[in-house]
Amino acid sequence: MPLEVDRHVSEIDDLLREVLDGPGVTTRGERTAARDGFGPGPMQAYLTKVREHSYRVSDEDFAALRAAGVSEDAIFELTVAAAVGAASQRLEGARRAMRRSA
Amino acid sequence: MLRLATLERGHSWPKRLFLGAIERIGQVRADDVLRISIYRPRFFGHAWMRFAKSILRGPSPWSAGERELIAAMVSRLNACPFCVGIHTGTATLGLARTVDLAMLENWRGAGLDARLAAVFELLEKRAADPDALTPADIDRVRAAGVSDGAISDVFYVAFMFDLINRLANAFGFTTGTVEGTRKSAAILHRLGYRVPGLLLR
Repeated sequence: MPLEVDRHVSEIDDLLREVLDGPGVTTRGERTAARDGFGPGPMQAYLTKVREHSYRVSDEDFAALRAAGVSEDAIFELTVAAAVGAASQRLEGARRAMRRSA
Repeated sequence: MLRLATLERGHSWPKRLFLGAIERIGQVRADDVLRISIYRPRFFGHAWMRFAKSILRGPSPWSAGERELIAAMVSRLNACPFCVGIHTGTATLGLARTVDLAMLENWRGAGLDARLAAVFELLEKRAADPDALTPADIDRVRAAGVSDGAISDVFYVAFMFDLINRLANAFGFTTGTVEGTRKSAAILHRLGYRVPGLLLR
């Protein structure tokens, strides 16, 4: 019998599929890396902030990304990928605890 | 104003018309979650809004108001003022009791029932170290009378807000005035996360 905690997993899979494969200016590889918290140049520090303490993101972070030539749509896509990755990782921790106590 | 101009003004014209119309009718800035969800929905918005409606308004052992309260608490733990503002507003309307930041910060003295108190305890532990949840933590919530289905739904609400809190903070969602936030919460309470399908294409 499927566990209660797996009830909405297919909806999250749909969300993840759109974020990784949906139309956009970045590649699937770049989005997958952002989901896992990685990015090139100034993107790395920014994505770490988004994942770990998003309340510290500032206008200066965006200025640094623009100065490095990152387009607005690329920032949008990689930010969403990083946020989805951080949320998924936290959900996975919860699902693990639920499965072990079932 | 959002930090990315394209999220502010880059929508196709039918969507700009829609945003303008709801701002005129509601007399308040269109909600920034809506604004980014209809920007490029085949990348982000289509599955997201479906998920939001399912988790926050679909069948669950928790009432819609209780889910809004859990959403507000997750948002407080993630330090997201925008989502705390909106979802304390929707929780207040859904539960017919005042829910505000002070209540979330001092929830132990707020007279929550045993189930919600156990859930808040769990959420605080999870916020301190998301990888440290143990089967014993889950068992403590079960012992307070919370079913596995209800615990799971807490984790799905937490997933949603772990995601949107980060986007709100990163993109600089606009908090607005107390009155504006109250209006936005009232609109969300009434519409219940329903977005016309045409806008999610």
